[in-house]
Amino acid sequence: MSDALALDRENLLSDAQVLEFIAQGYHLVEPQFPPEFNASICAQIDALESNPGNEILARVPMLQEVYDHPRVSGALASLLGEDFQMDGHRALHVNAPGSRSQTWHQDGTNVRHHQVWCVLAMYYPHDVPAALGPTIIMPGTHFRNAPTDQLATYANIKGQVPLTVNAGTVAITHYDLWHAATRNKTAHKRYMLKFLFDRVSAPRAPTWNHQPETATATARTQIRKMVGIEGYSSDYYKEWELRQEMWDWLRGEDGTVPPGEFRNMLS
Amino acid sequence: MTTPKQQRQRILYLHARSPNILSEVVGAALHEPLAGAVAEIEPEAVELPYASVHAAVVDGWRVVQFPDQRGRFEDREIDIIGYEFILEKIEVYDE
Repeated sequence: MSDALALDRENLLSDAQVLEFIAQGYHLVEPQFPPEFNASICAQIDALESNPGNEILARVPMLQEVYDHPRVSGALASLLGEDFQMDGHRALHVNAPGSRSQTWHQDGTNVRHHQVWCVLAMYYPHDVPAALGPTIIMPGTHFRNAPTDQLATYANIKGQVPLTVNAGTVAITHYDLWHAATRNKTAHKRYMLKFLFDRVSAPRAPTWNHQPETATATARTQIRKMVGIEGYSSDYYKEWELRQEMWDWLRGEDGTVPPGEFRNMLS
Repeated sequence: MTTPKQQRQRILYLHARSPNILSEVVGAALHEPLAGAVAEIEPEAVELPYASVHAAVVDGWRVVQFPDQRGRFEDREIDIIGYEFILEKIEVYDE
């Protein structure tokens, strides 16, 4: 671990938080920016003549301060390694008044894995109440290798989580987590800045506040935690296995069970 | 002048935990036969319309498509949530 990371240890995630991310597929950070900081970003976005796409950072440079905040960068380093990088793809999402729900989707294409190579970091520069059309996410779905077309018939799913958040919140989600924008019932625009962050190198050791003496017991509880739709089904037991693989991989261990072999998750 | 009453098809997708019609419903999308109607994802707490496919049938819905029990099987990976039943209810609309 580098000196920089060691100095910033207080902003790294704990074992429990990393395991929570593994099970749920998301982690919320509240950096506590001053109200005038968030308001300034809103005003700069209001003043844009058009949506600049990937150029949003150049047009609103203050956004760099969001992702440089120690709590945000600490969470990103915990999940992606200390050498993580901001991706070139950025987006300003504007949920306009009178919109309709998007359909559930995963971003990108369906070449899925059960590792953590990329996350979305969604910053909301204003409060997002339910009426303003929050982003909605489905916990645990980052393990599901499901083409977006096959998600088109879902509407409400048991256990879905609306990101009704306070101004300044950064929602970090696994790249594969199912999500959608919901209907904006108000007369105001809802903004969201979606930045992607990439892992550069495979993990060799934990890059969070790892406590080996307690991590095993914490993992045992969290890996079996019911999330999302909850309840027993064959998927539930498979999720245990996939969470264990992700946990092992993030710690720099190869926990992949070869096809045909079996790990007794009930022991 | 009165508009003639029409019979229209209401369509309900229910995603059940298993192919068994008594298993728990974990997802639902109701499509009303009205121009512009959309099955919205509701960010506020929402009750799914039925606890099971059976409960929907008891309420007068007819199953028009059952999930394929012989679908692709993968004992390590997971993909979509639940098993999709499609139901209909024919009702008279006076629009």
